[in-house]
Amino acid sequence: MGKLKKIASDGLIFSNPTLRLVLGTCPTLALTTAASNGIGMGLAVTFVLICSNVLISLLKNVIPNTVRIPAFILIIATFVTVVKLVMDKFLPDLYSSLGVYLPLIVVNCIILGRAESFAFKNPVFDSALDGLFMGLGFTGAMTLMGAVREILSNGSIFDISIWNANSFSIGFFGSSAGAFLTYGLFIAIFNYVVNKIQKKLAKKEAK
Amino acid sequence: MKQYVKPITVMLSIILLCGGLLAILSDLLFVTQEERINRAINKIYSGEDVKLEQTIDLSTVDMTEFNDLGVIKACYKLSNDDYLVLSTGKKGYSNGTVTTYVAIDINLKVRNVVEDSYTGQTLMAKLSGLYQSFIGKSATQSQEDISEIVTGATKSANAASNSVYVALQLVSLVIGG
Repeated sequence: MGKLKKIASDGLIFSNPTLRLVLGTCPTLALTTAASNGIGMGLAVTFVLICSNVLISLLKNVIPNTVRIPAFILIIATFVTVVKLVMDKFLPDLYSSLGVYLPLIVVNCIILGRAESFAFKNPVFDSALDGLFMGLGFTGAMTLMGAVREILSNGSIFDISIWNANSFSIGFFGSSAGAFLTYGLFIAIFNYVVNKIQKKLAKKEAK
Repeated sequence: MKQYVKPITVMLSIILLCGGLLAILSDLLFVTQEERINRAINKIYSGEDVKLEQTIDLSTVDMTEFNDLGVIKACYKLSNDDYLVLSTGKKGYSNGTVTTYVAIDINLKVRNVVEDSYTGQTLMAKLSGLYQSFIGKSATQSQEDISEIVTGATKSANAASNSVYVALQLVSLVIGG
């Protein structure tokens, strides 16, 4: 139970890939113009993370150290192609809005990083959980950022209108510069809160 | 030599395993042209009962004078007498192209445009509202007129407007006989 709690809290909060480790910034900046894009990309990455972590963990004793990186890339690329095929078939609108960033999941640092630092050294179940929580951490950050940017720039969330965007909207938040500003603010606020939590936990442990 | 045997065997096994899985899945999840057309029809006529009626034979239509601007891939007659044209517009940013489904009514006016795909660095064609600005444009308008309607026109928007323009010209030739 303690291990599960640690993996979950690491993935979601303390080692959140987007807001703590600042990994996968390219899709984070480009795709958070809408909350639906964020959740779509996040779930695609989560699926690839879980599947590649499981397979890499299963094959960790078979894959020689010398070819581990090409082997990881091959495995990750296979699952990304699976996601691509499924999305094109069943979610064509999301597939077209994610565009080039979907195949680029292959070179996403989060996935390769977790394969190298976690799945290649840990058992299958733990690796699957790590993939799940890291993916959910990424999805949460992407969706939250997408929601904030969509509300401010379009007056809507998940394409549902909250107010008339003609009467009030800050188009800047829909632009690339707005993405950097939002991302910076998110990192600052998240780290401030997490550092406070960590200090509290450290005090508790000291007592 | 022995040290290379295991890595090569492992890599080949992974390639075979992944390749096999992808071969099966791409067969199962293949999106047919008919499915893509129906998706475009549903997007354009959401809520309306419109169906594909016939594929227009393009072998008798001479579109060579428009080859610089775009290429017609297919043309379909729909159950509501509209035409649906799959056309590719050229001269996008960095020689990119934009392929669109253009629905044109019997009066030779654009009913709606849906993007199918794009190549090259034509991401700017995804400017919101770009395709909606073509609605109501007519086959009698020149290519420049159609391009000019796009506010803040970019090279990519140029490819999209070329795609719409050649589609309008094709339907005008088809209807005109």
